Amino acid sequence: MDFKGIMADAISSYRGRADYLEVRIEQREATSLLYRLAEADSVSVKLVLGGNVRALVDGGWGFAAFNDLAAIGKACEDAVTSAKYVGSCLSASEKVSLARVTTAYDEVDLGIKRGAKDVTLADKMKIMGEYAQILAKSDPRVVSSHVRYGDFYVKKYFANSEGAFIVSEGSDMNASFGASAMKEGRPVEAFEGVGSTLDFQDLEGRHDVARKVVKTCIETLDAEPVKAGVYTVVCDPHLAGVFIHEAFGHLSESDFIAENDDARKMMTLGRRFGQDFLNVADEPVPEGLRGSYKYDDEGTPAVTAPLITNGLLVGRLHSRETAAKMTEPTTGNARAVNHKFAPIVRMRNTVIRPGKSSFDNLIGDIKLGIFAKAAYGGQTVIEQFSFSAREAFMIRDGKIAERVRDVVMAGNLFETLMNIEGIGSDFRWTGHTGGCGKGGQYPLPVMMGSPSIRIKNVVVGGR
Amino acid sequence: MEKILKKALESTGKAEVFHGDYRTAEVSYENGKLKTVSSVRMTGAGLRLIKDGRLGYASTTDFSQTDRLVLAALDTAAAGPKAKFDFPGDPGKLVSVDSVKEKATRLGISEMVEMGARYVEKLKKLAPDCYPETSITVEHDKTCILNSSGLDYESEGAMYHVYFGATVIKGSDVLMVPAFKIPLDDEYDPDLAAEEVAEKIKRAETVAEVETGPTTVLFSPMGLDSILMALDAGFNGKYVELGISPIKGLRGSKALSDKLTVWNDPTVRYWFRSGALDQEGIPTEKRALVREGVIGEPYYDLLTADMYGRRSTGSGYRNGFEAPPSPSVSLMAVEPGDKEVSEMLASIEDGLYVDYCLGAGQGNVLAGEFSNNIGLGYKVKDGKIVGRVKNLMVAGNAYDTLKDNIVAVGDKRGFSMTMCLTPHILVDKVSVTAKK
Repeated sequence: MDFKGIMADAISSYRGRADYLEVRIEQREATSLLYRLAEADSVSVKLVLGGNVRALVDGGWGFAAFNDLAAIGKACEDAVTSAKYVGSCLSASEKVSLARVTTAYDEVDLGIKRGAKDVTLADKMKIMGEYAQILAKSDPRVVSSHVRYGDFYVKKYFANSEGAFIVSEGSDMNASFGASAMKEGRPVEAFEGVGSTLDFQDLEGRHDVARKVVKTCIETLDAEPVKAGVYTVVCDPHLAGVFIHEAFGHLSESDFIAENDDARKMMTLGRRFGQDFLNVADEPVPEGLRGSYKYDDEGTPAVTAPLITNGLLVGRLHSRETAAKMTEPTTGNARAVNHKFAPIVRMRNTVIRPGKSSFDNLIGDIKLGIFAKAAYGGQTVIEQFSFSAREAFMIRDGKIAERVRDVVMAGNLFETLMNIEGIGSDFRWTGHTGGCGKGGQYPLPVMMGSPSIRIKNVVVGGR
Repeated sequence: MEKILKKALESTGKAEVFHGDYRTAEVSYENGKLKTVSSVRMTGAGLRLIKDGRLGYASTTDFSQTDRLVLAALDTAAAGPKAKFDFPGDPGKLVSVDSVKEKATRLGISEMVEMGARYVEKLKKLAPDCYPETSITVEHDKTCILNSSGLDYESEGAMYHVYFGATVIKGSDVLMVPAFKIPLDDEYDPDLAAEEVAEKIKRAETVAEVETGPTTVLFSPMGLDSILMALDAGFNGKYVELGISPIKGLRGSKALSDKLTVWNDPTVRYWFRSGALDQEGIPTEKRALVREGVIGEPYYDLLTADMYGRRSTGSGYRNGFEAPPSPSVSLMAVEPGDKEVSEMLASIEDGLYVDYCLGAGQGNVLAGEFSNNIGLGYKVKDGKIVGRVKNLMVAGNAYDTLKDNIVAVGDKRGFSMTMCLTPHILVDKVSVTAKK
């Protein structure tokens, strides 16, 4: 289909009635597979075509999304009418303006080697089936197990009334493995995920990961729930990544700050958030990560955004709207999870830069603490947040001791970041499965990069 | 739809087409200011078919590609789960449930903008230091199931719901108050909403210290998220049959408090999943998951029931047309008790009132384990709220908590964030961990 022509027609018909108009169209194919134990439980494919129109009239936004391309004119009409109505309700100081960006006319090739569309369903089933066999069959104490595989390939078309036209690709393939065993009538679980954006080969030959999930599950059978208290916690790179995403990343999304004077005061650039050795950034690179791209969903070129440098707040994440409002440079962080939504300010690949400590050094002088590995998840309401570990061990007299389970931690933005007292050198990228949720848009592919970190005075819940 | 079904039936004898037409209109305010007006219309179809005893599913929003849709569904069936069942036929005469809320069909953009403006204005008057947030959403859906057994079932639903909240920042102290209303038998009142949020803000003005230890806690409907998620997962027939649900083997036995009755209720007017048939075409029925503490029947969809030799309980629901049905409750509804919230609060000598928690669902949900940072909670002393608590975790196991520690159940219900209808529940001996 001639998407470019359809979009150009829509824009030329309605640009006279809007100060700014943009059209996005997406063509997406996705596969979901689920094995429970060694049997297929669900297999499905979706073929999605859809788009949306966003208009800015007199400083007010209107948005309309659709599936039926024949309805693009109606969507333009709706978006422009809505925008005009919103604009008429706003006072001069409330009106939206957009930061200037370089108008891009570009086609971006993601560099996919072997993507979701290059592997047959039968091959995907066969490989995931092998993992399912290992999970289901290698230990009789495993009562239930699953392999959940999902992929998508999307071709995205973006055009706006400033003359931009961008064609780009999105791609993701990931699998998560889980195993459950029963202890006193209740399940204990273990999980692990693998994924790639560019090459299905990264998901092949991962039998070791499936075996490790079984091993962890069985070991967890003997683990006791953690005793509640306040501990020094060492987080592995995965959990540390989720920690920085929740603890700080969401707060640096400027849509929260831009129009709230109290939030702006709280987030004054130059404010100290951590010790001198804490450095945090959000990046659209390197190529091949789930949060990497050349242009965001507003067509803004994406650049690295340093957030905390030497412990001090130095920047934040912007859409064109928030950058204009705060007169700061754009970063290219406006993202939409799919065509049903307007882009909002989101993270990409969020990192804590590595330090110098070895892992042994990080734990060496901890008399009683917790080593927490990998994340179940996290949630934030800005100052208060929570993050939970998939696996954990006690640290006793500087050494990793017995396994414990159900480790969930409470965080406080201003205290917990300052309490980071050690940063390891073992940096790695994590977050190959799952995604981030905000404003009903889930799961947005993001990644985290971090070394192990050590945090003092962490509240750990439990009985 | 007929065309897709006909095409599919060229390759197999068992097929079903689900068509969905979903319209949403939303007005949102951020930081006290009108932010955007949006409309979304999504239409598409999902094709489910059984070929050579295996089940496949494919969906599309592009009706020019129906041939590809059928091929994709056949492809998934070659790899899909074994299925011995057939799709259900015409159910005969049905008792319909009122599913179109008239107000939702009449709500225009200007009235929605006005509802938002009134909330913002009123809340700013009551709590001048806060930044109000609200969004008013109207959803209007038409769905249809057509299958090879002769079922041709259309249904329509219309409802509106309102999110209303506020942010208060004082220096480095951030208070976020979320609240929402899904009006079923009543209507949303922006003035009442503003008063509710202003009251929460007022109660949070001072911060109170709490000590670590077992504590009496009054959970609001939103505060019960973790506990209700555990029950929802625990009664899923799939997990019961796999043997990983804590209720496995407990059917008919009294494993929870006799103060607790929980329904899977498809008869509640205007709820989006209410109806005489589920989204596979199986008749629904109001069923007790828990009756005065006694464990009832788990819920099943067609495929799960088929896999384990059970019958569907009319619990096959879909998230739109993009994915196949899965076992889901219509509406999980906790039976109200006889205590007013004020009575329960007044009865607490030294304890907590939890409005909402963080991290629900991020842990071993199925086992019932919960451990949550409190998003908004208050210390209660001698029956009175004395201030907000921060940096505090509540933890326990849902099944233990609901078995031994329920003190009282409230008489009025609201929605939890996980969309369960529940009263407040007063619970004893909840483990609380504070930062000293």
